[in-house]
Amino acid sequence: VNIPRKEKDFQGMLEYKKEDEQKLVKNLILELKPRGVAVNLIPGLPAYILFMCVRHADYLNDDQKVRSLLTSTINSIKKVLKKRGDDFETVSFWLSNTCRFLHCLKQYSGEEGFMKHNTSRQNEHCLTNFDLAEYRQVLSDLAIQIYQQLVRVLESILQPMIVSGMLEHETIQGMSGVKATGLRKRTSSIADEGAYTLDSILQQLNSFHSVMCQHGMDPELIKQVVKQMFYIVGAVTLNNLLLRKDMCSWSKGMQIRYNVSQLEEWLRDKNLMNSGAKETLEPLIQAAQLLQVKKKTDEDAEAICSMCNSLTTAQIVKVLFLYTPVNEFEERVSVSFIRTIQVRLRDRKDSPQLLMDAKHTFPVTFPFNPSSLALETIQIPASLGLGFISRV
Amino acid sequence: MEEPPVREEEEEEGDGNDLGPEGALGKSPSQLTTEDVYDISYVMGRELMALGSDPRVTQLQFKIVRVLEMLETLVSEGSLEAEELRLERDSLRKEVQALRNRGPVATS
Repeated sequence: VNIPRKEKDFQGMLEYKKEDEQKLVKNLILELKPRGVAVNLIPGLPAYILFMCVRHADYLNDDQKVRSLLTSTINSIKKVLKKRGDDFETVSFWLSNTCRFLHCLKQYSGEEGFMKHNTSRQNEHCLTNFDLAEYRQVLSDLAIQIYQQLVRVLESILQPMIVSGMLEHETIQGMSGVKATGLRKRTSSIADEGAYTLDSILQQLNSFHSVMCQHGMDPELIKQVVKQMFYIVGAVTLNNLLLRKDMCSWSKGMQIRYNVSQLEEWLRDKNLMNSGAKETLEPLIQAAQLLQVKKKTDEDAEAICSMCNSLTTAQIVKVLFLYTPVNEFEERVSVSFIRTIQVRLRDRKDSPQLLMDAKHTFPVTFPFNPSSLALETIQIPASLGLGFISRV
Repeated sequence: MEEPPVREEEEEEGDGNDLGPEGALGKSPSQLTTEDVYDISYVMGRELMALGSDPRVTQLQFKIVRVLEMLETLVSEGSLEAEELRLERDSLRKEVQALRNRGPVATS
């Protein structure tokens, strides 16, 4: 007969022997897969476990153990990112967990400003002996570094898709007029196979977004990543428009506006309309509109000048120069019209910049995001291989 | 604060590309991969989180972790074992076939 044992009341700490520290960071950081049963079911689990280890060392008043654990933690995360830093999943996983660890150090710091959302039980779990504010600074710097690495990885994945998917691939059938004969269509569709389309870009965005959600990344941080992705798409597309004559036509403008509307639809779907991502596409949207509006009279010139407030004069003039009529009903933009625009924009003190800086990274912030998780209820799943640490 | 409800949105999205996280639950058990098991844990984890931080929920959560760990092992090792047995059976079959073909020659 199994006599039910009374569940011991745990305090939400984890104890390990000093000599096991290397084994701890090896199993919990260095060799932990970013995808697995335990970390998928409880996003941020490695961060919570690490923090519970810190709590016990703090409880023992063992400053040497605290320092050693925090140093090993930071070094191990750096080591993982050095080894697998080109893998989006790994980088996203450690960005999420580094942030969660940082949130824990704040939430349980004992500083009142961070305790507003705590339950009374959570308040009992605050550190008592050590002030780890300096370590929080180090971790925050580490998180910034990981974020920049994440941006580089997603940039290298998106980059080759953008021109093909946003500009070259034709989403709207028969738009380019002249080439619409049956035979031509067929060959172009064969040529399209293997080339990236707008759908490839949307699928890639989906996969980035779902990985970050699965890692329990802070919603505020996901918004910043998405804004950065949209900026890259917008900047690379616009730069190519400004460099290629064959991209500046009425039908390309139509094409771009359709593609942008699909990207906006994606944001709406994911509830990310307030991420600032849409706004980063504004210069591209205006360039696409510029391709479509009338470009003849003084009124047209005035309308263009008031519409294109996110484009520099250099960019507006360049688009007008490159503009290529698609059919006999349209005309080239006259030199005098471009001159009129230049005169009108003379007082505008904007930069002489033509190309956008596609490598620009918006500064990232990590707003405090406390968790309602109760540390005393956390158990150590067997699959983590941490049998040598015990709950206290 | 963590806000599980916000994430409800992409639950339907998940069905999109090759069935996604939700699709795994619709699969036949014999076709499950470990990736499916991870998807199932993510989906269940989100639903459990939405129930709040009642200690009884957390207790259940860790039992589910254990069950899913077991499922993961069965899925990965089970298919390996079956594959090994299949190979063994096929090679025995071939051997029998070869012996049968040779049989009459040996007796005469």
